[in-house]
Amino acid sequence: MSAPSLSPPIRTHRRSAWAVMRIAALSVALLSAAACSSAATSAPSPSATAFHGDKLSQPIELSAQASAARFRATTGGTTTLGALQRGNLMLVYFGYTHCPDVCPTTMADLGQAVRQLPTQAQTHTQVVFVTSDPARDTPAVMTSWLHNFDSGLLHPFVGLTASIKAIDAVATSVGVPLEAPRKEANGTITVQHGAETLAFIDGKAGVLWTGGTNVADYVHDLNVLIRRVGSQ
Amino acid sequence: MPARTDNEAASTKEGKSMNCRPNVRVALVLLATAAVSLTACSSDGGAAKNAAPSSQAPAGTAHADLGDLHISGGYIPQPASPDVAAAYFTVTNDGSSADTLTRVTTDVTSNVMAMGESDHDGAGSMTDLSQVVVPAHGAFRFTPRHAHLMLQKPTRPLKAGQMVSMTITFTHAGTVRLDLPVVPISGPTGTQEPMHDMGGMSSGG
Repeated sequence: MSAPSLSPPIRTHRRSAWAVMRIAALSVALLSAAACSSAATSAPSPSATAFHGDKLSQPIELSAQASAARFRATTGGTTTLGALQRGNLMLVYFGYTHCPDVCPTTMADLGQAVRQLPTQAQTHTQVVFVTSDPARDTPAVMTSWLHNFDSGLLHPFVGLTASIKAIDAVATSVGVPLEAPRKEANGTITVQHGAETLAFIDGKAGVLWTGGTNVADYVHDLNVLIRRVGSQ
Repeated sequence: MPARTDNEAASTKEGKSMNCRPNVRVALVLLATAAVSLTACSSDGGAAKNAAPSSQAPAGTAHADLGDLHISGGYIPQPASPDVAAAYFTVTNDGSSADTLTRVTTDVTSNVMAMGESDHDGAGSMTDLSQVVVPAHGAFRFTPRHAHLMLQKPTRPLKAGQMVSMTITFTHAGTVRLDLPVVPISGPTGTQEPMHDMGGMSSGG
């Protein structure tokens, strides 16, 4: 049975209506660009739509371009979001390793949540960290940073980097408009991070999580989402 | 200054305005001297008799009292980066006048800044808090994703199980020492949910 509070198609807790509309509009715009494979999803049962995160009425689509953009990866060599998505529930977060608060908190929560999934679900859950600070976040730096969060997981987190321009193009296309890092008068560097984590299945994110999400919320939603990952 | 009963709205506003108006602020950044050896106030397990129950402080976190001010729930998650760490705690004020945090020193870095967080439209960033005011009969909370004390370039690797000594100075109440435990990266045991919820944060605008 669906939770009573979920009748509206969009939940906007902790997210401005404007931001949601913006993402909806964006995804509409992207629809034309995306060669979307038919979702291998079985018809969602009512309870399967009960997310603790924000459900988007129009999923955010990974455009063909974003899917194919090449990143240097912590796994060695290069890869694409399209390749990481294949067969997986792909959780994408944009952040940076010199971030003391939001980024490590988010990654630690994701790590804890994934650790609580059944083994089979863990093997099909890929957390992807895309740096918003490529000048400092080399694959080696990201590797050691990510180890703090994914230890013991069957599927290690993957860190990705490219030029800031290439990163921003992908980020913007999924509703995370990043500004390039800038040096302040006091010598500190201001870097932006995403305000949300996006959950992609078959190149589409129908759910995202913002700052107030806790580990139990993630676990709940991941358990629902993982059932929708194509069994191919 | 307006009396606020909590700092959430205040710092969000702060963060927004800061975007348009960089610099020229009395940033709360202070120099630290090394290892402080004041007469110890309380640290974990010490004598914080009052236990200001408003702040469900989790076990294993630091607390201290300073006149009308009560600091509780203090900890530092083991940092993932060797270059930066965050410290969290709550200050509650039982008194009838506001107080302001003016100086923080630690034994692991001389570079400590009070930071807030501002999100806008899918992206977010840290902003320095110009002031940390603990309102009369209110509280200021450094909590994950909302506000933190940023410790830059710690002089030693911080590992869970260690302690970091901090001295915290307020305009009226004076100075108190807090020995913060470094806890696992996921936070002090069993606190994630309450810590997140108690903010009622609405910085998404």
